[in-house]
Amino acid sequence: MGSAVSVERPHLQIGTSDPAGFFQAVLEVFEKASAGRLIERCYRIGGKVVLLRFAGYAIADLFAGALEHLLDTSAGTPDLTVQIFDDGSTGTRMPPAPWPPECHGQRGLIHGFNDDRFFTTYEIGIDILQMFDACRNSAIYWVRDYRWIPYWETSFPMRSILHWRFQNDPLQAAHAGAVGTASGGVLIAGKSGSGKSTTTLACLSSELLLAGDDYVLAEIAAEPYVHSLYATAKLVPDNCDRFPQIKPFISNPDKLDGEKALIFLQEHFPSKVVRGFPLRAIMLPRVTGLKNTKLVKARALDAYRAIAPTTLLHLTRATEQAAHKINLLCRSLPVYFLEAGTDLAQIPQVISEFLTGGTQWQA
Amino acid sequence: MSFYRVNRPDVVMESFEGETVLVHMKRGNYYSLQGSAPLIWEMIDRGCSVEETGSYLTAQYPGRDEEIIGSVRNLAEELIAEDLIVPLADSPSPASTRTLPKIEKNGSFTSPVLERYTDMQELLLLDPIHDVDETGWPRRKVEEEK
Repeated sequence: MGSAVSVERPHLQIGTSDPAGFFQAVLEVFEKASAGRLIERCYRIGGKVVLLRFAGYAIADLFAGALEHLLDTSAGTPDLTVQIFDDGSTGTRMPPAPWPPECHGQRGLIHGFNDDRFFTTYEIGIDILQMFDACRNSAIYWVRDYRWIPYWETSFPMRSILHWRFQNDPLQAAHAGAVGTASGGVLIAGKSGSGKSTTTLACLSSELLLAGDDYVLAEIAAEPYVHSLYATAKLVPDNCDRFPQIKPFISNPDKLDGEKALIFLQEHFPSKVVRGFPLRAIMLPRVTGLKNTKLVKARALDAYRAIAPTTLLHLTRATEQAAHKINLLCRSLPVYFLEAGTDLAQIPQVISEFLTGGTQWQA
Repeated sequence: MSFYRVNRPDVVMESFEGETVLVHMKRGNYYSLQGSAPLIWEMIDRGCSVEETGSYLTAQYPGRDEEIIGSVRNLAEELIAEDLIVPLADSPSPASTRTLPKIEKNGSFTSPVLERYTDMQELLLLDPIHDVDETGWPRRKVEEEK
């Protein structure tokens, strides 16, 4: 942790809706907090150059695990710049919230600080402020103390900011996993408990690569593509015994009474992580209890019902535009129920057979 | 006449063959409209009153007037109760400017079905009540547990 510094707190008028003024004030606090400890890391996410500017290693290291596979030192002008800091490790003092308490809405949305240009959330309880200025493609990620960032946030850091940045692009963050090879793969979608993580993690023992376990970035195009967002996997503790190869690498083994097991894939399985691939299908796992795995034709509607409600309700300020992008994605690919059997080795086998073509599964 | 509008932007909708999926972003529910419900929904969304919708459908499916009119009215009441549509004082558009959806003539009237799924609600039901501390930021009282 860095040494504490004394930073004068800017004075903001409480009760005024001035997102531009607040954003600028916070940027100035960040510049002071990061003086002498600024760490800049450049990533390529969804084909975009994303520059993360951290105030110190304490918080930078928390973001590293999920995004390390997307580091790109050759990247050019940023399409998005995010300033990331906390008070705890820098001694910074964030200016008081300029909005009255009644402005805190559902899912952390701050009324009066969300419009066509500014996107603002503050998550009470984990004390994370995220703010995006769409005109400058600049964002702020502030947390009161980096040590309070919960494990799930380290598994998908900045999910809201990335969603806001990509909303007008043919890109859509989707609650889904993705497995395949560089030449093509499938989206694995389903609600919690559907077998999504079991399916993606079963592929660790195969020739298939993982582009994501929980959230990926889908490119809506004539030939749909999936971009990896986070090289992490989360597994309900009861399911860990089925994956003995990952048990030594669980990052939070002493907290599994209240948390999912979190595994940083790039750190422990770097050869299994891929930045993306063309999509060939959407597969919707269904746990059958039977031994064998098989594919059963499904509809675009089934895929939409598996992906859209969870995605739209997870992502703050998701709109009809996001729903429509998911709809287009679901219509542009064949969809199958993946009736996942208890013999985990069959799961990647069935997916691989589909991907290699020439099987009865090709639509 | 009873006019309504779709409760945008709180309600996000997408249509598929024979089914429309609605997501209520504030309630955390999602819904499936099936049977004749997607058609009735579409007519409401195009500015038709409940009465106009009932008349249009009874003209397409003669002999089932009472059943159809009752079905439209019941669905509208369900949609209101779920905050998916919002009453309007007047027609949102002149009747002459509305285009009405085409109905497959070879089909028969099927009762509207509204299915509700509430399993996502927990995402939204975090209690927003909080205290503001000396730094000017809200905190939950449970923070000592961190």
